[in-house]
Amino acid sequence: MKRLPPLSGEWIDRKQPIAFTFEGQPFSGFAGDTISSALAANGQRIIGRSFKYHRPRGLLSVANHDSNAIMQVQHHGRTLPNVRADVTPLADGMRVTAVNTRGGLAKDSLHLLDRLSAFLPVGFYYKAFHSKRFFPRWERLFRNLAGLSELDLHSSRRRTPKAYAFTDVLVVGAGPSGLAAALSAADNGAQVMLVDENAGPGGSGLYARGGQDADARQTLQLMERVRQHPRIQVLCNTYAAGYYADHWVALITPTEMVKVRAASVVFAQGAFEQPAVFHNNDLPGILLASGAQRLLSRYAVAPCQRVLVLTANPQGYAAALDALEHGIEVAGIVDLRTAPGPASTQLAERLQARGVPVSTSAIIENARAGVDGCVRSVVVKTRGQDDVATAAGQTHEVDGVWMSVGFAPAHSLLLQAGARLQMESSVGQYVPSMLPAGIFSCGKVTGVYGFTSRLTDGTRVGEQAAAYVQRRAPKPRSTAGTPGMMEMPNHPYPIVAHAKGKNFIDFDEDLQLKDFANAVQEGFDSIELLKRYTTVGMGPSQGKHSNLNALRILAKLRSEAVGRVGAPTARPMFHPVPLSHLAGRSFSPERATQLAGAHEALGAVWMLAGQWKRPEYYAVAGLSRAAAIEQEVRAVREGAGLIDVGTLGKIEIHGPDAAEFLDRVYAGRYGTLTAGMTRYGLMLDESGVIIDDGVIARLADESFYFTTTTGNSASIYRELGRLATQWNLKVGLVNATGHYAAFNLAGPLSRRILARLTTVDLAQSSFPFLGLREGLVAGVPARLMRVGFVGELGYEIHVPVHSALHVWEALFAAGAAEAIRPFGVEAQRVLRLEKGHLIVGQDTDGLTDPLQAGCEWAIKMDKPFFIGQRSLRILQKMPKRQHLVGFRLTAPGTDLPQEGHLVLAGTEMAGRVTSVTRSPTLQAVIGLAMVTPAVATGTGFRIRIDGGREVDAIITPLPFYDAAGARQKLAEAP
Amino acid sequence: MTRRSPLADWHLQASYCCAGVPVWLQDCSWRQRFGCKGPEATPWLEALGFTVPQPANSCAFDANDILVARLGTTEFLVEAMSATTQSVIAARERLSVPGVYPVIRQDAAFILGGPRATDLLLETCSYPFASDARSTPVVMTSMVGAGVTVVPRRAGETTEFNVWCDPSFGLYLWSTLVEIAQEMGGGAIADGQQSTLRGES
Repeated sequence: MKRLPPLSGEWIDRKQPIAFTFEGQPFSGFAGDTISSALAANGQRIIGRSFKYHRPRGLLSVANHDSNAIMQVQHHGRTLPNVRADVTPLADGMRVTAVNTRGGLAKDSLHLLDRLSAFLPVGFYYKAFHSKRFFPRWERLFRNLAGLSELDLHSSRRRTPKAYAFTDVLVVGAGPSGLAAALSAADNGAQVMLVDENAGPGGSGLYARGGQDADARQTLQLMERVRQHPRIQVLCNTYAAGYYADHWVALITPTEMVKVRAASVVFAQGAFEQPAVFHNNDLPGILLASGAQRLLSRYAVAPCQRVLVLTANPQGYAAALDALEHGIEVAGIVDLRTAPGPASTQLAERLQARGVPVSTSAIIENARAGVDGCVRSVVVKTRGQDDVATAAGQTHEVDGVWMSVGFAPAHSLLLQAGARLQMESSVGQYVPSMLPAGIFSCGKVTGVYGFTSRLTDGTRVGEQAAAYVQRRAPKPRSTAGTPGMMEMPNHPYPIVAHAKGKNFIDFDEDLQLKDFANAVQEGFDSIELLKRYTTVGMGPSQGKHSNLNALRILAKLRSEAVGRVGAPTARPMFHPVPLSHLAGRSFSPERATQLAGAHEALGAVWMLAGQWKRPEYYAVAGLSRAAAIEQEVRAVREGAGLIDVGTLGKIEIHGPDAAEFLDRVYAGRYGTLTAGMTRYGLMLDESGVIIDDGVIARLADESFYFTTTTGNSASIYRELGRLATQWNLKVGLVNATGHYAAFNLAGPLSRRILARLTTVDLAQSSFPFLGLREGLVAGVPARLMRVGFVGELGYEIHVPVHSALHVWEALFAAGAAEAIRPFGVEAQRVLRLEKGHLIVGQDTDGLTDPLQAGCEWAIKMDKPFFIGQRSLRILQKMPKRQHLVGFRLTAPGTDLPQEGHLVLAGTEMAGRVTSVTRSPTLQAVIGLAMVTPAVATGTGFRIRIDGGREVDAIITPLPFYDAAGARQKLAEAP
Repeated sequence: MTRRSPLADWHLQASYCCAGVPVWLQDCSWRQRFGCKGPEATPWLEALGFTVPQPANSCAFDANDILVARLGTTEFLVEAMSATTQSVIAARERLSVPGVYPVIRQDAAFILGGPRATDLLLETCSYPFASDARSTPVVMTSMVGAGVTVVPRRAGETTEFNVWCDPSFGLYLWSTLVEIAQEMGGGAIADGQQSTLRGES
């Protein structure tokens, strides 16, 4: 390889030399070089080792589309792993090393694996290393052998900010069709963002010249118009990595991820040139023709001195002409086709006039390496039946092979956007058959290959995108996207079998042709199974150069057309994204009540309940967690405790139809609820399954205030809003969840404490159990509800959040003499379980109805309607599938079962534990279990606990504690 | 009655920056405000002399710097943006009218300002404030994952953004934004006039 004399339009600045090292050896390049181009300019043909067999590898696509050019780079004191050499600008002082080697690139000791490849076929580890005992050892071995770069674990932490951006039309790809689309959209009034993964726009319009400059000149003119256009913003070195709903596209710039929200998106990202498959097709020196053209045109680097071009389309002939223009000897054209099309024939005549021999119906049967490990010669034979070479062959001494046998459209983003594709036989590739609203595509990705046709296609689509944004009909045009290519650019099967294998389909994972045959033979004969078994397309290049050939092989093995075997699912990210770009701030919202600081001061140990941060319990010096929780429980049972329940959902409903609305939403009856009273509410879905519960309080004739479970408040509020609209009832809903603080003051001494602070008459006769009163607490307007979730005399106190701390502190001060103490979520769980109260979502699941949960008392089937009523009528006539029952362990000293442990009837599974605790009050292990009807009507069951041991439980009526409910209705403190 | 900002815990350990920074945030949860909704809300507000904007998701400021933000067809947020608070407090106390439903507003509220405020928004919010051509928009969107209501307002050569959020998200939202603002060379600015631990009776 060598650096060519200066070329017009080259991307390098020869006035700025750059020194760097590769594998410890000094090299030089220029500003504008990538690491790859600089290595090529210095004659470094082997740049890495393959992932599995450690075969020497060289440049392939020069477009960051293959895995060969991945490096470890040290620069400015930082170690950067898995650097993409094809697109990473060269910088002064870079120390570049190849990845995945033992002893360096030249003397990689693991190259011996290549000789052992016969013993290491695809999936060998599934069959050889399945022993549970030895698997960890093999896992460690393979983890050490495999992998790419090494991470610097001492690297400083950086948080990469992300940014949002907005535009009317986002054009992905700044090749000829993308440039034309951007100009057309902008000329029609749209704001346009044009992005391209390369360092500059122009795409193949600049590098694929075919020995002529007309297309390049026109491309340069387009680029200049784009540059000057006031409504076009150009982002180079930027790729679209993923498409998400509503035209949300993740752009990866060199420094950050930009989340673009576009009104419309034009996909013009072209097509990936595909490799041909023959024996030793991975030798350094064998490049995709477009990769060689990029080196020539952009970086003025000749990748070889004498080249053989293997082709099946006009692009290969054009590449040969470009080689001649730059002084590279062309040993010949090997055309896979029997009858090249007219465009190829025209170009062939120009080549033949310059002494280049052209062979048709020919194949490269194999390539051979020289002592340097790079391609030295190839054997060309006539293509026989079944893609096998005929016996006679001709050897060509070359130091380069360029492959141009077809393209795979870059349609992953289109698929993510919801486009549908179909195989278009005239171009031999998938093209969009349906595009979602606001999504457009043009150029090669739609099967349009001719230069002029791409410009026409881009112009048409750009105007359509602008029209979509402006909500007008597009201007009528006579031509839709026309192929514009006089012959098919894609060969249907550029693959040659070889007895010795090493004809690689996937360069990332060293997958050979025979691996696919073996996989299909073993039954992995759908594309999704084949992908997972062989790992084709799962390496760093994400199948850009392997998926299409894999499909072709699978289709052939299944004797079907390629279009019928499907295609792998395209998921974001479409192209590997540096982790540093993703490792920005975690925007994970966390909710906290206004008492977080007070809880912290009291020694709260936090837990997450959905998005909410809640005190699990309050740590006490010298006490274990269990002991601290037990103290909290005892405080509530014997004195007074205070818990922050501000996380409960809190909703108000007002209006003349408020009661009617609640009667429809909840299974209970609320039209009859008198103002100043509360009632339990059970919410069901249409199938009769319990989805939420809470307390409904009537503030006035047309006003209610009700609570939901902590985790469901947002979704319940949304659903209620939807129902209010659907039923057209005269109600107004207010989500007050975050705006009201709520505490539960519970325990036999709670009335005494509260009486010191409130204007409300707390006497049993004035404020009975389940009553609601409004008044002042510590001078703050409050709603008081006498509810009994924990089974004691108690008051739920709701106050505006801005006054929460004041009231909380006032309650503690007022209860100091009674040794009031805070209690957390865990103590509350114990207390409510002693009382036999269920928790929706813990003691119920996605199939539990009120009949199974023993909540018949909370449903009023005689109401005209409530959600789930119809299903419950049906369920009432059916045998119950399961029952919620209480249980008590017969031997309380045994190990505690866990929630989810199996209930057994004999040796059969008969249910599961939903709640369990060691009750300090009852000195017993108690719990709830969802069991089969047969078990529920018996006297006991066994529970299988950790380690496979079993413990005995007896079924116990609920509640476990204070069955008469006297504690909740205490008239006076004891 | 004692009121306390939802951001008070942050202020207890606050490190404020000076005015004139590229981007700043100022807690204004203390402002007097109320919400109302219902079929009679519009005429009720008009009868009280408030300037009621007509389109949904728009707002109006009157001569006393009272904001009326129309959050939907029949839902409003009314807030005294300055020291003139009497009309807001009086209206809040009279909020018991047929067809007008009170909406409790105990928001965490703050102002985001400074020449780089829009840069901070571009990092944290997927709403194109810069291209919103409406003169007095009310934007209900999401900022770093938390639901917010935003009212941009011109302040000299720059735009200040008034932000309201559910108080339970307040500390998270505020802390996250202040941290980003600090990376941009700004941060939270103190409000000497309005203590965040302000006692009112």
